[in-house]
Amino acid sequence: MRKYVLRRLLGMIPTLAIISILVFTVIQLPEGDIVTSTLDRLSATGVDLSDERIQNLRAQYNLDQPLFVQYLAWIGNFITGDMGFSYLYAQPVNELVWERLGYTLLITVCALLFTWLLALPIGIYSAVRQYSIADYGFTTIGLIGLATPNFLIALILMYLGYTWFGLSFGGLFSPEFLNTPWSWARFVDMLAHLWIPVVVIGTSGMAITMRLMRANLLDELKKPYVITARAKGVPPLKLLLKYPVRIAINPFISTIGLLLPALLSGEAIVGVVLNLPTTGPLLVQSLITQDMYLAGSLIMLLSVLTVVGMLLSDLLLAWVDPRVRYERA
Amino acid sequence: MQSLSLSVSRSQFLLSCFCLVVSFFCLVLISIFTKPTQAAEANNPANYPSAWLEPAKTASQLDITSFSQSSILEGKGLPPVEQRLPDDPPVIVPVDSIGNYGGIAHIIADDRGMFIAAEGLFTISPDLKTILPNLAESWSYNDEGDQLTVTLRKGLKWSDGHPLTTEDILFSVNDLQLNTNFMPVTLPNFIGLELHAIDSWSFVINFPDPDPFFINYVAQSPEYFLLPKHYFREYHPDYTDPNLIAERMEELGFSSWSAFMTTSMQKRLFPDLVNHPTLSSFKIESLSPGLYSYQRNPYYFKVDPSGQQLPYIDAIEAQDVRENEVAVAKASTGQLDFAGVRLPTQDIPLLKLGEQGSGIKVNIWNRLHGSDLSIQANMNYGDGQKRELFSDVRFRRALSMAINRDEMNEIIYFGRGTPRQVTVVPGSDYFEPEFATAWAQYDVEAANLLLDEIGLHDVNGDGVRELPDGSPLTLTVEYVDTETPKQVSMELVVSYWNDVGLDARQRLIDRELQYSRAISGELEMTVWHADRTTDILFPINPDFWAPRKLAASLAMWSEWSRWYLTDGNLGEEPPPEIRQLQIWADELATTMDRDRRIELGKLLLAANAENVWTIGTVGLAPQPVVTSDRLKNVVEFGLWGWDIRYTMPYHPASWYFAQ
Repeated sequence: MRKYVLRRLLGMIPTLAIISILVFTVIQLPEGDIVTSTLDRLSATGVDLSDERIQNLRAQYNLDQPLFVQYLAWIGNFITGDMGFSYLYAQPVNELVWERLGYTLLITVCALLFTWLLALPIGIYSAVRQYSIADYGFTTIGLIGLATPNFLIALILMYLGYTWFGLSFGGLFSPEFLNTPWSWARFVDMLAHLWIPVVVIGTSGMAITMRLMRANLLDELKKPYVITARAKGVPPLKLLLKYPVRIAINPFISTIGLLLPALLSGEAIVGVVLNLPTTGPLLVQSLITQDMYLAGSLIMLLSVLTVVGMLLSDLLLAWVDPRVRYERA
Repeated sequence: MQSLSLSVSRSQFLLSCFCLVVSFFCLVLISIFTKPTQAAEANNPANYPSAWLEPAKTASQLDITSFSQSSILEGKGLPPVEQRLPDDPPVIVPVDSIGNYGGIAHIIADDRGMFIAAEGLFTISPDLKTILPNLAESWSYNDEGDQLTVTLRKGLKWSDGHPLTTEDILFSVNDLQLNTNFMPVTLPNFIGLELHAIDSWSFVINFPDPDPFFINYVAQSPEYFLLPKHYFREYHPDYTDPNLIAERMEELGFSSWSAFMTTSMQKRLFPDLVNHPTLSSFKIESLSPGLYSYQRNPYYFKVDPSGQQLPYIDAIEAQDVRENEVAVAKASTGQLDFAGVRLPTQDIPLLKLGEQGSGIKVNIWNRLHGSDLSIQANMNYGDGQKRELFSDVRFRRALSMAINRDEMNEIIYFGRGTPRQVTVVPGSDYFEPEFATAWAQYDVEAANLLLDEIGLHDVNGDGVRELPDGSPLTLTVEYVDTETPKQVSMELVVSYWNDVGLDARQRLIDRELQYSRAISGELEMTVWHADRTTDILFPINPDFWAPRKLAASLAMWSEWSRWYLTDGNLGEEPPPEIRQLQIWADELATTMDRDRRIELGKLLLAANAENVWTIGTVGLAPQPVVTSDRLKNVVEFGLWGWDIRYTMPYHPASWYFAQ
């Protein structure tokens, strides 16, 4: 087992190295660089976009060096924990990212729990009561959630939050708590705002989880061991939860690693619309402006999370399901 | 409608969703939103207090002897207010009423530049022509116009209490703008400048050529001239040990002292910014993700007629809002005390709806853009038939006359804009009504006749005109949808062009692409917005009327500009009538003869009216400016735009909250 984990960990190194080269290249692909886009942003407020200023800035930011030198400098520092400097925010990337990553994880984990707590029981119910009115009802609601763009749900919920509860638009806090130290009142205020992004991000994954659970469980329910157990008089609920559900849930565990990046990138768009102090808007903004250290480092962090997540979910699966446990060769 | 935009971003999609919603509201709101009889004249001085149109009187001139301050400044260990103010502070007369102190203003971060006016040596009058004293008390040019003497007010102080002297200005220009380590390529307006101090309060600038409009530039872009030397010398290698600076940069995370300085000058937000001394009415107090908090500057130099030190408002909390939709939602529900820059014209009905119960007031200002769109056909494009076509004045006139500007005004601007070509605002010294109307009448027949005359006939009978040699003709307009409603405008324009048998298409492109393709002359046709159309910036930057600059906004004559900029080494030599434009523009910027100046300006504008180098649509367009009911002294009608830094002439420091 230890050897297996070690081998997997070693395998991550070339994977991440290739990802880092890809990330760096893709960010550099579009025309222009942080300098032109900085000036461009300024020009939106009317500042001159003259050639002289661009040359001046490019020299200041050391952007006149060859690409592979820039790459080596970036990745070398990244390994030592220094993610470089964001030109866009004029701050070290480390400072920018860590202060926001907490909120991002909070929202993502809440959204994941929200999805599972609702979708799994509904999926089980739909499978057991296949083709019932409730089955169709839940499926319809789930598909609406899947089909509606996240930002639209976000806008609608913001509007409802405002008209029903008097919540301020956007953000995780009301204006009066934005700049105060943590307190119970501030925490409650945050919870009052937190549900909107959680529901928005959660609903997008709801339908898939629900339908997957339903399909998996339907497969299991038809199997002879279920029929046998039922014939032998095992109580229906105990039978259901102890055997078919346990098996049907395996695919979810094995995809935790994939779910994390999906939720994080879903959070990006919602974060922009809802003005959340999370990494999502940071990522979008840095990609638009080709702020390479910020964008590159964020994507690398996401990649590391994915790769580690995949390993964890494999280990978790082995722990949950004895059949897939790693056998020593 | 052929909107083949492959690169439609999410926000554009969002916007179009909203357009649907908004158009529904429009129907509902036709009854509420009544069309005005006549839009107020763009820059009618009668709209503003007469005191704003002349140099501000000082306290001694108005016999103001005692001064007072906001109560939040008491007990902070500051020197008394008399000592913090300059020796003879300028007095700002509020537009409506004398205010009272107090309150926190909630705005979005992008409106900070509008709520906190830039303070420079000079300021701009609401007549959009006159330059007025601000931090400088007076100035004078010599007769030749190549020497400017400026005298500062005495006793001005930075927000940390350090005095402002000529040292600061000399540092900003000599040690930064003219320092080749900091600025390897000197900005055009600084080339050949020589500055020297007479004493602590006065200095002299010598220009290589007469530069009568230098004061316009200083008034409009004060940032380049006013950096606190006592603060920045700690980061400047001429004053501080380079090793020490390298250490500090390491600590702050900047790659070089020049990068740090540039970031500071752009007022970009980074933690160290809270230490920067300022001259503005507010200084930044703290930064956190998504929120910028400002406090009043206790050393701000202006007072009101009752001797109260401005500003009236104590603090500002500015939230980072990235989506226009969220900004509009916040503004229309009364969650912002002031909003403007993120409010699109299309959302005026939505905002007006909010006026019914959210405690807000929706003022409709006019954008100072001479035209919201400057449609450009690249006269230097490639070397085939298209270049010939775009260089043909008949073609550009036909394109212009095919556009139904009145309909655009009704559909996009609720009839509150002014259909016009790309030219200066009415009321400008350089303005003639025919500059705005030439070739701007909607005349499909005339447009068709011109196109026939050029030889663009529908040879194969598919309803679309072909090139004279029979090959297909497609016009592709590539542009960035920013600042003004370009996409919705271009959809109409493209359909008008289709109506005269032209196969026109539009495509949204990335900002980067716009820049790199515009300056290399690769854009076939593009769209930008035409600001710099007031007497403040037009004489310095007549960019839409003479090829003298390479920029994202100018795609119709990049090679002629390159030729001009490189003294004929690169690019293409322009034909004589274009070369003439450059000569006129050069003379306009340097002549001291006022009459000649106006003559030259009009020659440039008349040439565009005749030749339609760039096509305009609707200008002086409505710009919503939303204030909360409790915010007072905001002018009901103003011009909105970069030329005057949005609110600079309207004295935001005199805004206050009613109790």
